[in-house]
Amino acid sequence: MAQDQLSMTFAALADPTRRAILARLAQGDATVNELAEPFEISLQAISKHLKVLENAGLITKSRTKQWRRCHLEAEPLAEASEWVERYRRFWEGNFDRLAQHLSNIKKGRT
Amino acid sequence: MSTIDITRTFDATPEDVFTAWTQADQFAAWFGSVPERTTVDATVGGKWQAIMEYEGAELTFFGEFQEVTPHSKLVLTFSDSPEGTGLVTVTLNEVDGGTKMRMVQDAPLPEEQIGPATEGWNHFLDAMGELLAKQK
Repeated sequence: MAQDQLSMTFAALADPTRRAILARLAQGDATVNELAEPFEISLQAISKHLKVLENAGLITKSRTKQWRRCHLEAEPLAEASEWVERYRRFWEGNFDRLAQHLSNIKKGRT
Repeated sequence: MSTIDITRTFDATPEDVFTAWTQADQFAAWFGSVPERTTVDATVGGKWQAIMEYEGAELTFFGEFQEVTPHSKLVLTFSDSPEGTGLVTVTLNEVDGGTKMRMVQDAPLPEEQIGPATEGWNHFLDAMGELLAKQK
């Protein structure tokens, strides 16, 4: 996955309203009005959030009907999770080696 | 957005752990980069770079130090691509038996958006993973 896609995904996820929208869409498609309902903010503000999510590839919107239907695209989220897992393993491995390195440093002194 | 949060205790002094992060040869030894292709300027605004080689491919990690407090704290930007940068924060505390090190790595964000962690959301990704798995 392109790195810019990844950072766009994380930037999109950085906002709690957008995360709530994604959580709702994980349960099934919804119209823009349905998505806006739980929030105090304006429809316009919701639309801005949806634009960010759409640009990041996290949702798609169908334009065939009168009601704009939003759909969650699972792949970018899966990629983001994989990034987290990959780096978690990366650092755990690094720190195993760091422990060994520090032990060697200590032994080298005695 | 603290994404990765790891705490380890090492049988070493905070000075030794701090040096392992800030002295290029030592950093390369545990980070896994090529020593000759690893540079660390552990000053505020100083840059670091570490190049890994394996199976004929190259991977460059790089960034800049934002905070350097011997021997207790480091904040550096961390990136493996020009497109996104995250923050790594390392804190060291002396404990009985050595040094407790905590490393937090934030997810990569577009350059203009990087900053300190605001809200943990790795739980969100975990929860979403479960929700999406149920959908299948």
